[in-house]
Amino acid sequence: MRRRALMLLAPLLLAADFAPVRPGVALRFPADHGAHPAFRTEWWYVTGWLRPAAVTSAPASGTQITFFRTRVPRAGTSGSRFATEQVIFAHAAIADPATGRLRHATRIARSGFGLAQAREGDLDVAVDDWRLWRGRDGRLHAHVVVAGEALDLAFTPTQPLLLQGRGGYSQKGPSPSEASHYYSWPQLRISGARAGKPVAGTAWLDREWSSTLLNPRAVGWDWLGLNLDDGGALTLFRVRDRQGQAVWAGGSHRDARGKTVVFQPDEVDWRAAGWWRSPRSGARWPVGPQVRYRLNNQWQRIEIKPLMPDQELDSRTGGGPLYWEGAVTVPGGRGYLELTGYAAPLRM
Amino acid sequence: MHPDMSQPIAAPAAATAAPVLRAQGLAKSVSTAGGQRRQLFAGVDLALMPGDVVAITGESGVGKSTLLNILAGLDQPDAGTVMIGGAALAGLDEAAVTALRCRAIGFVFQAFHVLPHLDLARNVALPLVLAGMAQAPALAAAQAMLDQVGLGGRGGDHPAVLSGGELQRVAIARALVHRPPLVLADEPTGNLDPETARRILDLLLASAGAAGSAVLIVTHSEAVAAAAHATLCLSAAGLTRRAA
Amino acid sequence: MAGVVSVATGWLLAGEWRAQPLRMALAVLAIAVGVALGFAVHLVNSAALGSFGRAMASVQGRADLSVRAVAATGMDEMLYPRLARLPGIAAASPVVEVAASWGALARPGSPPAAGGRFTLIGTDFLRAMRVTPGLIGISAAGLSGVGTAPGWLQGRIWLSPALLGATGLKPGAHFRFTAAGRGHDLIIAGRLAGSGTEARLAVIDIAEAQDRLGQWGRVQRIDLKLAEGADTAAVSARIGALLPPDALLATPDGEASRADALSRAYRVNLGMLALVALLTGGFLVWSAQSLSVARRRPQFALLAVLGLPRRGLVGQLLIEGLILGLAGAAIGLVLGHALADLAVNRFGGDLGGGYFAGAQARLAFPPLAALAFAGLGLVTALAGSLVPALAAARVPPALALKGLGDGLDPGRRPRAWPGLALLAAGTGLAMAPPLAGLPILAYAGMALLLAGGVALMPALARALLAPLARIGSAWLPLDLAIRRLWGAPQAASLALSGIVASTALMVAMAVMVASFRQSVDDWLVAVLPSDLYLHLEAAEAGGLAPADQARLAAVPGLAGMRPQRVLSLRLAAGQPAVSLMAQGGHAAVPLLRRTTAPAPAGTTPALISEPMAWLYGWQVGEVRTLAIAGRPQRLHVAGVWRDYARQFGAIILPLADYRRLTGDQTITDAAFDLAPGADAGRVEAALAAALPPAVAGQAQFGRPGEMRRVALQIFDRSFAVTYALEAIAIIIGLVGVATSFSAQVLARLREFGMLRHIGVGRRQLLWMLALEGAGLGLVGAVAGVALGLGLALVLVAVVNPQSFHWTMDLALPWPLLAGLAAALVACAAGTAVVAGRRALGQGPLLAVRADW
Repeated sequence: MRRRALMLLAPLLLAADFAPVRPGVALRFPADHGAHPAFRTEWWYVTGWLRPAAVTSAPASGTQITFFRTRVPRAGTSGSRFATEQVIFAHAAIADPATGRLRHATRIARSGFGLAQAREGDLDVAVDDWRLWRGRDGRLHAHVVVAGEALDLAFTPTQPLLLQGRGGYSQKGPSPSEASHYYSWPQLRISGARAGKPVAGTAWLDREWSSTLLNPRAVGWDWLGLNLDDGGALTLFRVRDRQGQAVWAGGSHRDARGKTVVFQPDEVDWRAAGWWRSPRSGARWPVGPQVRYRLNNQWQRIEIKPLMPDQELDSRTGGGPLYWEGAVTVPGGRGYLELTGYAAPLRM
Repeated sequence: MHPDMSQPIAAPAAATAAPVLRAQGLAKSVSTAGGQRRQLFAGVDLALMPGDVVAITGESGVGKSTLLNILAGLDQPDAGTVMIGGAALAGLDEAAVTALRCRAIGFVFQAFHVLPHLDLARNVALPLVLAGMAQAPALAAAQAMLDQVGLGGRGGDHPAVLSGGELQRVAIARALVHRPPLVLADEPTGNLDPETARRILDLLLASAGAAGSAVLIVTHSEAVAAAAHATLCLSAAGLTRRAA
Repeated sequence: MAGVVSVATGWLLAGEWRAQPLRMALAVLAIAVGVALGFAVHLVNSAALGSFGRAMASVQGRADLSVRAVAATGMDEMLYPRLARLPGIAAASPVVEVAASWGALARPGSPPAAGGRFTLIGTDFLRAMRVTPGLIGISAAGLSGVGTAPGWLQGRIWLSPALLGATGLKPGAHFRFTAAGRGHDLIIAGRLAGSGTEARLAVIDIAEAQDRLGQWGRVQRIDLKLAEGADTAAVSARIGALLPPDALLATPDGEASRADALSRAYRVNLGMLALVALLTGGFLVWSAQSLSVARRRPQFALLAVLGLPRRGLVGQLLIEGLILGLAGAAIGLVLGHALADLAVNRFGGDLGGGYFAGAQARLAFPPLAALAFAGLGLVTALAGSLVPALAAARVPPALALKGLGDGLDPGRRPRAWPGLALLAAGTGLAMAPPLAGLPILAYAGMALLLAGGVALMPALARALLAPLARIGSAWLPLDLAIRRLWGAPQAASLALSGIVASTALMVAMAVMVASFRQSVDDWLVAVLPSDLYLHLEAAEAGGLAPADQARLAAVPGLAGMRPQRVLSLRLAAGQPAVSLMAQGGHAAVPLLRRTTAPAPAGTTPALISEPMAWLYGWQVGEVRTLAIAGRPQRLHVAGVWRDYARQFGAIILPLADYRRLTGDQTITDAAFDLAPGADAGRVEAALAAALPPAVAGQAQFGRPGEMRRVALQIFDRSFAVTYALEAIAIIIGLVGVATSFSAQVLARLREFGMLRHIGVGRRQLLWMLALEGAGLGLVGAVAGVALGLGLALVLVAVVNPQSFHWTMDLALPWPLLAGLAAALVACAAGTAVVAGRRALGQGPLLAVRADW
């Protein structure tokens, strides 16, 4: 579910004929790695932990590379090359504990002129000098620049794709129409360079596309994706209402052998905790939530520790939302936590 | 015919003191409308000791005022030297002459030359402030001097309300306020009626005497000449002493 | 020693100023007026330029660099991705920019109508956000950005605060306007975030802009944001290598200099006029101080005798000048600010010059400029005091103590050579070439001519009066007056310096303006040969289509129609645009030079305007290359025509050639000849009805007579300030005559007393004074007019061509000159009588006894 940045384009969504999300539609690859321009919005969301390749003892840092595609419908016909319906937005951030806060950068452009596009048929999305694509070698590649540091990373799959929900149909609210097509790719092995120096690590790709996402009562969501040290993958999310109660919840657990369990809403219990107040925005974020899930009729409790408290992302000046997206660890795993709608309700 | 005018004239008590003013061999000519030069006088010798009062008479146009100007350093002689207080004017530059005049000479003019827009005290105090005295003591000294010339308490008045005699009292006060060794007076009573003239002359001589200044008066007036210790007559040939 | 001087100086100054408050006040006023005029002109100019610059910067959105199309028709948009990918460029934002208007536009010279012009901009909001944040809209909700203000929403428009204010519309309302010859109706989505308060502009999505304006594939500019730490020069070079001939690279500096160049000549000329007023003030200080010094000569002599050193005397006079200058400067600054305030509110920032249309001027108080103008006033006052001070210090005190009146000696002949030398030097400088494109040296030459003329006054007065003085007069007052004037030419020149200076300037300006006006009038007759004219405002991006043209041509009652397409071309980044005028039929322009040689093969014949020839160095007969519609075209310069309408150059091409070269079939202007007997009003109504409704608000019809009247009205209005400055200079001059004359009369009280004693009647004395005054006035008028004609020649033949790059024919406004001379004579005589009455009223007996 994820993701906010589309909300930045959200209010303009007219009652246009977007493609609907339906259960039972089989995902096909590599076509579904590519863009789905008929849907209102979609994203490619890579999060991971990085460390210098040579020094295993060096402190790890978090990184996030995200590309969004949003369709903005146009009425009538136009003779202008600028009259495209697709907008590409990209966001990248690096969380260095030594820095104490995020360094991040954005790119946004309407598609066209060879400057920004999201390809259909396979993964290749670019905006200006940033690009995320799948090579002939089957690996994913990313090039972004954050605060003067170029990130040139390759992500090598070590496991098959993980289809969320029912075969990639992931419900986000009480109504079956509040849903997205959703798959993840956990345990991606990172190689490449950060500012020219070799790095290594583990990443997670989240892929979703949808035209209708949030329940009207919802003000935001919490999401967690963990690469477990034993090779497993844990996904948890909940959609909150104004009182902080879950409107919907879900997730999945896949163990190292590939056995996957999809959680029902009542199998995820997420409580806000570990509040941290941002000195910049004044917003309060529950960066150490208490989360439980029921796996095989056993309630499992996980203790979430952020890499650092300040992983707030303020993209409001660029037209995006204010949210918290941070590297976290749990005993036996690490991954990314996303918190939205705590500063102001998200409108989708 | 040529008594030695460079010798002190009077005041034997001061015979051993240095002369206040000593002039030797002064000569002056002026250019005329025809482009020629006319000799005013030549061979003028003069010496004044402290306390001397000397009158100079002579016909109009003979150069009495010019002689006075030369003695004051306001004009240059064609020949001869002037020494004031032992300093030869010829050896001084203009600024030094100005400073010397400021310190050593008091002036009284026929036409008073009292500045109309300054009050009496400031008129009188001018030589003091020009010599570098601060304003307050200069004004105090000027008030005292005005007392002495009979204008006590009128230091704040402006010249416009004064009579001719009173104006000349102001001029005398100004001439003596800085106790100059030498007072040069050019027809000091020329603009005054005889009675006022007599009183002004007495005042000038008495005040100068009190200050110990030597006085040199250029005049046409017999009465003035009579009041001097000695009277000299200026002609083209020089100064001749007239019997008192 | 300094302390000594200052105590005595303080006493003397206080006394002098108590005794002569009026004269000192007038001297202060003279400086104050000069400083005030200079400062006011500077303030108004910088306010106007500042607001104009801010408005331009707002329209441009404050990009680091901009690639601009040379013509309003734009350039190929495919340059955008190429620029965006250049190393060193962080972001590129393509922009469609056209002139647009709403409501009915006011005709020049008529009262304002319910409409106006604005700049319509189409942007890709997502690009503009990074490059030109000022051009981003804020929705009614108050939040910035794409999320809340979806810029590519169709049918929406964002208005700048100034445009919202001018239209009186609010977000949510419909905004109907005309652009590119079409009507549009959009809903106001909000206002622009950072477009300042001055610029009238509106922003829509670039795709919608291209659709609505028929501008597919073309943009007017591409704004660029440089990468952090990028080398501007290197990036500029890379950009330059990419640019097609119809695009040029504009830097913010270049844009600023373009804004500056637009009105620079006008502003500099106004500033020079103001300085001339200050110069007149300087002459007044000189004359006041000279008189005052002459009057106080015995006093100075006494002080010298009492021991005031020579430099103490000079010091005292300079301190007087300093105090005069300080007081004058302070009053002048206050006065100048008030004056500027009034002028801006009354005439607008360009003082009616028409350079800064639409910009709202804001007045500031710039401390540096204030200091500079105060300093100028101070220097003027000091210079005015220094000359008499040095003269006074040179006088031997023994001589001055004799007190011979005002020290005149009829036997001395006034020297003529210093004045003649100044005149010669001035003439030489006046013919010098411009500095930095401005006639600075010519102005310096004018100042020298002025000084020379004033310096020559005593000799001139003596020469003029010599025959009279030889003859004399049987009538005693006349005889006395002549002898006084002849015998005291220095005194006369003191009284006259101010008036000669100001008269000369007045005459110079009057002649220049009259010549200019006559030439403009002749030119208007020549360029308006048709019976009816149509002009479409703000139609550069697209005017009347061929079908519309055909409808117009078919209107009954027309004998002929000459269509014209006008668009502006930017030939150089820092220069204002040149007008390209494609004219059908025979060009109706007054040719100054032409060639009869046929145009070489492959070239298009072109006529260029006089400023064009001057600014770009194009010569008749040459072949020049010009980018038209993106391709270089070879033009054969067939002739140069006189043009007063486009200061920055214009090129006329045959319309058929223009259409062949560009494919652009639209027109923006047309001239109509009526069939014999046709009624102009009816034809105009029929033409108006034949126009497409969308451009009705932009269409302006004009008839030659009325257009000529309006043009001359605008001309007169833009010179109104010039007239005002002249009038002030003349008044200063007359005040100078009055003060110096009354001072001289007062100084001569003893003379009058003596004359009364020997039996000259009071009436006779007054007659004598009146005749002296009239004589002075006459000499002043003759000298002033002669000098003024010389200065006018400099203005007409040097200053105007150098400033505005056009020439004019000399025309002399004889009635005005005669009236001026008469007024001067009457005024001088009157002043003399008034001063005389006052002086004689005090009683000459008192005067005989007076000490000074």
